[in-house]
Amino acid sequence: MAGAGAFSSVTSQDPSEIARLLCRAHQDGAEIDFQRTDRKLWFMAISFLIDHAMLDAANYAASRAAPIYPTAGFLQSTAAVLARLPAPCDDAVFVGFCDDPTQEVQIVPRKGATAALLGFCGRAKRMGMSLNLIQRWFGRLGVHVIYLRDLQARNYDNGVRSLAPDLGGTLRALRAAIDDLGVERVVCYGNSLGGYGALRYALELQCEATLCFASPTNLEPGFGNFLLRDQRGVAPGLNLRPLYQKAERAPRTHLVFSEHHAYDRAQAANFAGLPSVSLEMARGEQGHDVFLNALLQGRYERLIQWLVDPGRGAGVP
Amino acid sequence: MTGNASVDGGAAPDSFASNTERRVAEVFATILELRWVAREDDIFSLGGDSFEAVRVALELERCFQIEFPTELLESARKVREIAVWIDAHDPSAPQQVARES
Repeated sequence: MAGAGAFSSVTSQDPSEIARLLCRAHQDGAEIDFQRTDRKLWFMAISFLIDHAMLDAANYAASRAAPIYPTAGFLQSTAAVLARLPAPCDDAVFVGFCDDPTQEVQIVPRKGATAALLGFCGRAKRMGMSLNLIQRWFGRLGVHVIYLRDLQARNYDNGVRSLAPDLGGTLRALRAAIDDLGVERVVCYGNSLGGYGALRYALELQCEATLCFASPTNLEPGFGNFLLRDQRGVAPGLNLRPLYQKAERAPRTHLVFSEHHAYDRAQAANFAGLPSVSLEMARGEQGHDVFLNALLQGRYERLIQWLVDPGRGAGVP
Repeated sequence: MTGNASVDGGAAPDSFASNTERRVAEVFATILELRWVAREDDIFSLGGDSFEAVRVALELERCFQIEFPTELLESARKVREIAVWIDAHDPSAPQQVARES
């Protein structure tokens, strides 16, 4: 076991270098002097570990940093998420997933799965947290996972460029990918802007169910859409409500939204009263981290189980 | 928001009470990859999360050469409130009015 002074030489401002030191501390079982450098850099270093799927080292560091900085919400929430991380499932391929944020499409097959989950990332190219973390929760569901990003920043309305140049081609490519996985049941999951994609694609692909966190349902101009200020020139999208109203068979859908976030509330209210849709307010939530709210309040697992449970009808999970 | 800027897209707001406000708004816009941010915006109303709050805090520290508490962002402080905090904690910060609304 290395001595407690293993971190006396931390002078770097480079999170990746600090991450390497944290990794070594984890391997050696060394204690870490978190007063040595700025807490934000610790957080960035821990995030670096998460982004590289070094989750045990991240947990080791976060669980030790959080008590040192009790008012640093970002460290507290990261430590809390890591502490709740489910154990890896027993499928080596599934467990071996490490997110490549440059990829728009990543397919993670699961042995024995009878359903596929399409996961739609938001603007930040994540799902409220790193895909490397969420993969552990998805591992509990026994499903194939297809992670999607829209690097064109067109709200998924123009499709996913890596699959096809337009929406129609993208939907056909996804259907083919699902067929290749050998399953018929498909569910969609989205966070923030990714939820808009999940809602739209679930309808187009006749999916079974959709679960969204803090997601827009109307991307028309004039609906308070800060998303349209995106540097990449995000195009206005659709109001999905009329599509769901007209649909002969809409997927059962559950939207979780922030109690005190005016934009999220308005977007969820736009789907109120639709027969296949249920809404859930994340009580006390001020911001956009609705997913985190659900996780920390112990509701998240119930929600994702509802998503893949074939026996469930529409309604509150 | 000041001026006539549309919340969803449209023209950038042209009114900030100080250069500090303008620079804070620029930092928000850079990290959140938005074309513009107004003085009444906060990080969460713009879709940011706690990870991006840390990135904004680090960039504000680099920009203003001060130690910036991330808690200010996590309590959903607006751009104009953060600028006031920065000016109050950095005596050398310019206080001049950039443009009157």
